[in-house]
Amino acid sequence: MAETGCKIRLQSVSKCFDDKCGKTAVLDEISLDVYENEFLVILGPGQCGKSVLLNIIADMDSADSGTVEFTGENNGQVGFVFQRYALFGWKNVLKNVELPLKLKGVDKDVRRAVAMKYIEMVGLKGFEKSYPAQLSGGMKQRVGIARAYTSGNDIILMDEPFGALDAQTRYQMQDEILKIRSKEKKTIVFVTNNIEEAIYLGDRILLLSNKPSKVMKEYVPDLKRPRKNTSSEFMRLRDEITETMDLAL
Amino acid sequence: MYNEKKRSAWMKMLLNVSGLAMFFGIWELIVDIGLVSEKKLVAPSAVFMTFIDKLTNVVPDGNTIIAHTLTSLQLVLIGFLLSCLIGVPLGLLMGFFKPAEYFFTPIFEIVRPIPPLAWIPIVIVALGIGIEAEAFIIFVAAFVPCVINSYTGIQATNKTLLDVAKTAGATNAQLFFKVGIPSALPMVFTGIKVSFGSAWATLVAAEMIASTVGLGFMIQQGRNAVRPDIVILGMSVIGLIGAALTGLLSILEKKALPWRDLK
Repeated sequence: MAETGCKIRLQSVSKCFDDKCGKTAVLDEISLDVYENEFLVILGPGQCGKSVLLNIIADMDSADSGTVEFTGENNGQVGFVFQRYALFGWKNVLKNVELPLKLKGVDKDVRRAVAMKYIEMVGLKGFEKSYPAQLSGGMKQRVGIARAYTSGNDIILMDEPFGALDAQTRYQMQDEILKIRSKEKKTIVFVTNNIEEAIYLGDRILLLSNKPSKVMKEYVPDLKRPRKNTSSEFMRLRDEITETMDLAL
Repeated sequence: MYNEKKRSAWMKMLLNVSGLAMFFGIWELIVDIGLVSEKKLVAPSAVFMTFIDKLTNVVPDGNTIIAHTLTSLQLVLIGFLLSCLIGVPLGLLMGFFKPAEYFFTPIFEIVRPIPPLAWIPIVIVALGIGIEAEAFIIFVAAFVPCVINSYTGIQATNKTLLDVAKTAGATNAQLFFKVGIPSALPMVFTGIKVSFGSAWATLVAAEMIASTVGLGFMIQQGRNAVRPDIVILGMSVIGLIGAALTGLLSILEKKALPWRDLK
């Protein structure tokens, strides 16, 4: 792997939430490094706090203790792909995608060109003028991905981006994201609760435990791409991760 | 599919028309067969004749129906537009910025339950007798729904959309104008429509303040002159114009929010 350097470093990140039954610890001293241009998958059971972790990295939530450090030129700016698409219903596809640049005050012609490039890349050419309500779930998430890339940031965080899609569309989108990645190098942190998705996509997989989450184990799938979920190595790794996950529950 | 749509559109129209026809038919009938005395209730046909007559005749209230209608429209529009101009921004600010909410809510909650009519004496003292005082009464009636709907609408802004804009580096002003206000617009429009209804419905009350012209005044005069046809004509014009303008607002809403009816 061409992991040239550390991009994001988390040190002892902890987080508690107040709820009806008092304080619930969600993240327990999580430390991890994200390397440049890698596809890092954060895998964990439902409700384990994976999304919270991602929100903390994106500065949409704050940690109770611990630090998040961005190295190199990045000052914490990330592209973010949301589970529920989070598109602006009153904006068409083009305007949704160019929004990050518009907020930064980029000229109209420039941001149009960039947005069109990524709309084409996610296969939505011809749908620029459509509104989100007219698109299917898979297409909406393509818009979400195009928007994250348009932001121009070299780190893209994806929070269970295919969690709301049906199985068929989900497989399509997994291939799509790998295709996009082969065209444009980015550092990707991808959160999921789906073991097969993690193995299919990840250069590296970090397995989180149930709440309060800790990093349980790291896997580096030594599988040739395109990976096949029917290959024996794939299934062996899947069984191994499943067992470790079951132990944690 | 297309035919079915067309058929249901016809069906809707047919039911609309027959509802109206039944209402006016029964009304006409109970007067014509003498179920109710003509001194108490006049038939719709007689009201229509009075309408034709009042287009040119200034008796008994000193003005034609056109003059009354225009005066009332002007009065309502002033009060209504003023309430939108002040109420909508106030509601949006209160719903989006906590300090504004804490600052304005107590006073708003106290003013809110006071009925518009209760303002009349103090308004006459403060603003005198005239269009200012009348417009103020209408303003008070229209103001509350504007504020409440804008407030509720912007408060319901999707938190994730705010996060999207925040991660893209949006400032507070950008969050307010680019995310909050567009998400609130459907509710703002609802508020504006409700406001208009309240404004128009308060017309007669507002024109109780020493008016000499206006639909509310015409109704009062009709009552004094024992002319039920004029009273009912005034009511009918208020009803018809109210319905027409509400319809106009709905069309405006559709034009302004084209994404709402997509599927």
